[in-house]
Amino acid sequence: MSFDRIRQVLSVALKSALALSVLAIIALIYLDVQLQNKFEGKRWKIPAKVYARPLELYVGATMTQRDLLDELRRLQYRSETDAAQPGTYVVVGSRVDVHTRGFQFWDGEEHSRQISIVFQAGAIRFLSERGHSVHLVRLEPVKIGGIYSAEQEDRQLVRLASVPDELTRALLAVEDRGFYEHRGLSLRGITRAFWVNVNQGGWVQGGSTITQQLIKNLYLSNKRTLGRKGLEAVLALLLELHYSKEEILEAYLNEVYLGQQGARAIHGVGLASRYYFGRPIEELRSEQIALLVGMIKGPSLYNPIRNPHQALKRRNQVLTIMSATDILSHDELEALKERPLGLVEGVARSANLYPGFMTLVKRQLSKTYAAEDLQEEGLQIFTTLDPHAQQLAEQALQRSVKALNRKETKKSEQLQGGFIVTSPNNGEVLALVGGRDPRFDGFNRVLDARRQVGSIIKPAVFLSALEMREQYQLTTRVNDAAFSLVLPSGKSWSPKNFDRKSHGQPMMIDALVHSYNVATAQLAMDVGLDKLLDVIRRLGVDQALPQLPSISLGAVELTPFEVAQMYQTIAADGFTSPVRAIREILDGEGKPLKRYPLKVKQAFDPSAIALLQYALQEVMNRGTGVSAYGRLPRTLGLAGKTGTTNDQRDSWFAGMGGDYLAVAWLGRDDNGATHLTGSSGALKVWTRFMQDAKVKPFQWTPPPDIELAWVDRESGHLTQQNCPGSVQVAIDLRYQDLEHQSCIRKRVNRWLEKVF
Amino acid sequence: MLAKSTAAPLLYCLLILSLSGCQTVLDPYVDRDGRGVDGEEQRRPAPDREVQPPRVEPEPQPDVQVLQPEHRPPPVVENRRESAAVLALLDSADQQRLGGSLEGAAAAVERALRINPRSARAYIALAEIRLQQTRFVDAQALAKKGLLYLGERRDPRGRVMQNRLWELVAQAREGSDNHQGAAQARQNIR
Repeated sequence: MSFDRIRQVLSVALKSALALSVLAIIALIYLDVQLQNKFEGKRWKIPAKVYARPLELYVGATMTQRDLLDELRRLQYRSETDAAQPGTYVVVGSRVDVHTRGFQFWDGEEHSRQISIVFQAGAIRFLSERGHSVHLVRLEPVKIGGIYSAEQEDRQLVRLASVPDELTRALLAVEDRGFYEHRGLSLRGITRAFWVNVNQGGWVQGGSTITQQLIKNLYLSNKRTLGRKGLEAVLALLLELHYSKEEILEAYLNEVYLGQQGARAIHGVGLASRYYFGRPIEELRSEQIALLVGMIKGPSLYNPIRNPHQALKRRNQVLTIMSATDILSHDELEALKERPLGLVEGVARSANLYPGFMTLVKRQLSKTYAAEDLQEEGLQIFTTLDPHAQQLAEQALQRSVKALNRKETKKSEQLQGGFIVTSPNNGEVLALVGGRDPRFDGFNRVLDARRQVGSIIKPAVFLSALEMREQYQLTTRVNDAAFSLVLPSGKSWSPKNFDRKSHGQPMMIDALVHSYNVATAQLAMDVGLDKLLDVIRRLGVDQALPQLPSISLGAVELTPFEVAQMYQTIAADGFTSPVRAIREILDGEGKPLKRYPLKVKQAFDPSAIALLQYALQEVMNRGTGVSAYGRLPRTLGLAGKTGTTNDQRDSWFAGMGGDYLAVAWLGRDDNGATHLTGSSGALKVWTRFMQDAKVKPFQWTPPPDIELAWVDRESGHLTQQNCPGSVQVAIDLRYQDLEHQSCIRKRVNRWLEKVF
Repeated sequence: MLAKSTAAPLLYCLLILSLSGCQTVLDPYVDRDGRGVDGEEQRRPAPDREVQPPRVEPEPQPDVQVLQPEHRPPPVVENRRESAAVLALLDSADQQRLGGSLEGAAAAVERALRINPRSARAYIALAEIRLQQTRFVDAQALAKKGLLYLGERRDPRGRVMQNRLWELVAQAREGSDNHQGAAQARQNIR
């Protein structure tokens, strides 16, 4: 080979090498920029966290000790002898001492406090903080779910400062002892890992540094090829160049994969601590720390739920390492090895306890937010759900449906139901059960089952009349004689009463109390269909309804949610407040982002509403709702209405007490007949809930023009209380015919009738 | 300007209320039409005595049909002290308003309303906040709802709150350029 030839080859080689280096440098710079962008920018997709309402503690709050302990259990507080740590409590007779955890709310921080609560007669009697009485304490809200992306990665970010020192030391002892010395790669680490593994007789330590592991988790796939190892090493060096050890460690703690719950991936020590042990990371005990650190090596092999024995072995291995590296003393080691895994009970671990309610939350959120915002930005969403009411609502629906389902019924023909509970004054949804299986995340009957409403619509008819009190009072007579109407379509319509009888000319109040169809339809025609449709719209039904006279008897399909909105307006004295599930939203940094304020809009004259409320109370007192008082005391003065549709396909009840408004629907998904009326079906669900929830009395506070009076049923004139045939009715003094009927003649007549 | 005109009655109101707690009132709600036009009072002369709502214990009525109701209990009238928790929250709302955080203040008042949904004072506070935010429609609706919860009649403290609520209605109407409606609302102030 000639010298020239050699020079030629060398030159080509040199040029190629140069070109390659330039390319490599460009690639490196590109990688570096990418790396920094990724690390700086969105490091993690953080699903929105969804919370229940916080429990407010104050003197006079209706609450038993049991209710508080239930809430503390939901919050995963621990019963300890002195309640010295946040997240603990102790019961001393009728007193409960609680060391709260503190929480950042929309309207400011609630600090961690040591409080004492004394209960008496179903209410909080005293509330104090370190011996001084206080007015109000807000517990942190229970987390009820998250909004996940398709990959279902879930995590709860932690700051390095809040991670126990013991945890980081144990982590480094097990995974990367030279972390603070190396620059991303560690030859010593690899050799040491080798020796440790040989000594322990198995694979105890990996050779990768924390930095390498982070790179792998963050940016690379799981394939262990040589090329990837090389890239991982280069990126690790670059990462160390730009970021401090603390930043890298914090990122690692938040990224590390620690197991799977169904489709949901548990990432980071913050979430893992909550998920496995039911407590924030600050409250972890040494053996729990050891388990978490041990799991990193094999999150599925050492999953303490599925493989408790393997997990225990691994945990004790880590405890041994912690002792060998002076994180634990030898005595501690022996004691800790004896401890159980310390996992939290199963229920608390569920990712989505209330699928029915969460659907409503997501729908209301989707009006304002894109899916990505909810899945990635770490929003905190504060909802109106009351877990206590929710539990009772689920029980009420489940048990009633179970009791009503006939044993021989085929599964497809079985009874289904939906139940929604709201707060009567502000429209907040307290509980929502979308079907008889409350854990089923599917068809939501409260939100999506459009069903004929039947008589549940009737209050709208009577309200449309009561808005014209010059003509219509509760004492006004209506015609219950059968009639027939030819509709524009050519069909004829002849409404029938449930008992197929005519009841003559009942007073309006009695027509509603006994749910007479013919009288109601007649009244609706007298008042006018347009007027009725307008009233239904003002009650809050935001949907175009057909212009048919049969609407007055509920020949219209609504969801239980829409019915709740209608009755909300009646319960809130004629002021509409949108039925809603969200109170406020904090952004990823815990700063206020959005609030859903209390909105009220006057839709009706309070006097007309007061008369209607009175009539609905009478439905319970002596009408189709009376069976509720088989279980509940009459002094509650509850107000409500039943609904039954043709062939008994739908059984409805909507009604209210002082602190709960609830709508129950029962029926079959295939719209088959159920053999249930509103009273024999839905009312049972409603009554059971109101009883379990210890509903407060409905407060009927009419405007001053509305008063109670005794009215003679036959003549409609005012009379006296003791007069035979008199009935108590709410009247509007401004419009009522105040002519008075003497009682004496009537008494004499009655007496004469008896004698002869 | 708004703040100035509302401050004096508010202070007066708070002063009187802080002296004693009974939440109450006398005269009423005179708005006849649900959609916002205030009708002048059109009360008929008081009916004679026998028409007065009976507030007596039940008595048996054997000759009436079975479904005859038991006597209903007299309407429950809010006649208790506003709870310390509600007062603390309203106080905190005032602080937040002074600090310029109107939505924070609104959040505190809404907490108070969850504890006592019939607190006329809370409705006053919330209506004032909305008025300050020039959300006149909300302010008016809130004030009018508050008028429903004045409690027992013939009580001077209730009258103070009632007057304050009508004044808020009037100011909200002025804000929406409904001067006639505002004047009508002010006729209810006594």
